[in-house]
Amino acid sequence: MSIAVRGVTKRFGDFVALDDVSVAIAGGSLTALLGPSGSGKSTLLRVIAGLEEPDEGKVLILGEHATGLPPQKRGVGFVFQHYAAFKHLTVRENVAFGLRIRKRPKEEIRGRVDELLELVQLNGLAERYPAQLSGGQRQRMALARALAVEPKVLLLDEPFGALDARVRKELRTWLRRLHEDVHVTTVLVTHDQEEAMDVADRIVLMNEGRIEQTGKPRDLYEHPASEFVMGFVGPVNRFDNSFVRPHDFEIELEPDGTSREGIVKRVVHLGFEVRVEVALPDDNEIWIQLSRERTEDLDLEPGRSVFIRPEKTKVFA
Amino acid sequence: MVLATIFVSLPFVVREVVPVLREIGTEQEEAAWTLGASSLSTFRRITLPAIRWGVTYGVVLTTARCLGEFGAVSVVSGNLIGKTQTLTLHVNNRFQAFDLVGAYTASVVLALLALMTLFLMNLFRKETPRVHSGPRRDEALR
Repeated sequence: MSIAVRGVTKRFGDFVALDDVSVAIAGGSLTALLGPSGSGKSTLLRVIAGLEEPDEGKVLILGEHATGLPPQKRGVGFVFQHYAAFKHLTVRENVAFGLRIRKRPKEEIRGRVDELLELVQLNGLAERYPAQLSGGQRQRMALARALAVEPKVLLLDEPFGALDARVRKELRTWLRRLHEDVHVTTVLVTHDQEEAMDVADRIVLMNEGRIEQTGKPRDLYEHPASEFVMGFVGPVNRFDNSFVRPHDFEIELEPDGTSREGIVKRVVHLGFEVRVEVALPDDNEIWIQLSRERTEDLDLEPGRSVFIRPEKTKVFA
Repeated sequence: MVLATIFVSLPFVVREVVPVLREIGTEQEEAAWTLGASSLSTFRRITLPAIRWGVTYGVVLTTARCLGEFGAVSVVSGNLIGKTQTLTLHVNNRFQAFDLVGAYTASVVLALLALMTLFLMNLFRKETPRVHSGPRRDEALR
């Protein structure tokens, strides 16, 4: 295990940010800490980095005790949501910072920085100041800076949170590729389930300072351990006492014995998929995701009576 | 007298520096720590350059204030010529001795010093554009 967190509790006054959290992160993996704001995911990352001291519990990095060690001695690379660029230094000086602190020879620093700038596709911008870069470029610079010191683990705290949607998607793909090249154990904090599913090979889902579930993205989606997990990783409908994903409904115009009658309230066309809102007799309103063809076949429109049957349901104790 | 001047002028430096510190936050310092920089070298390489403009501005403001300080200094200084007499006290002294020419001359010197401070401040601003400059104009137009 590359990172092991054991029984970590962290309080800020009365607020319990982390409540007896234990997690193990495999070497070379890309793990996402996913959760709503205030779930403790960022605090956990900062505890691993040594930027926060836990009240209880231990942190091990590559099998060595890191609890009590200052961030300087943990061998971690950290990337912040708002870049934390050194504004008075050029891109080159920013990336070289960690190597300069380590007093490496000038030649070596120059070569290594050039290599890194190439890796993050910022060669040519080396002499600019952070204020002259776009958000995406600044974050790539921050990544190169963190990678320069060859960290044992790379920790990213909502690295794409401050970027607009298009750049965010680009950088996601780019990060995935970078991770395949560099292969350093990476932990990424995000509140965006789509981002976590897209980038990570493992997800640690957190809520209220505890871990709800750990697993592959697909496992979390298909076998959620709790109502919270099911609702957080994808859209969900409540149907009697069970939970159903919007794409797991069958919709017909004739009753077949097991189906339930409902009235179509609204039909929303979202390109390929169509969102159909149906009111059930018990005042429950659900929405169903259909393909465009299926909607046309059924000729659905508001006011129409339909018969629905859930295909896959999930019940939580 | 020096103590009195520091006492009245220190708040000005603090007032300039604190908002700057608050604005830059702690992220840059935390980033420096994770890159291996000690607290001391973080302060020297990251914090100080970041607040440099705030400090400079505070010092200039304070200098202006010190030059013009009258009340506090007149109470505590002994007003000893060549030792603890400041320019403002000198102006007052000359004026009360009905030496109008002397008073005006000293005032002009005082005004010139103030103008020089202003000039220096502008010079500073031109020499350190990189700290506060946004994207270059050709950049911004793109």
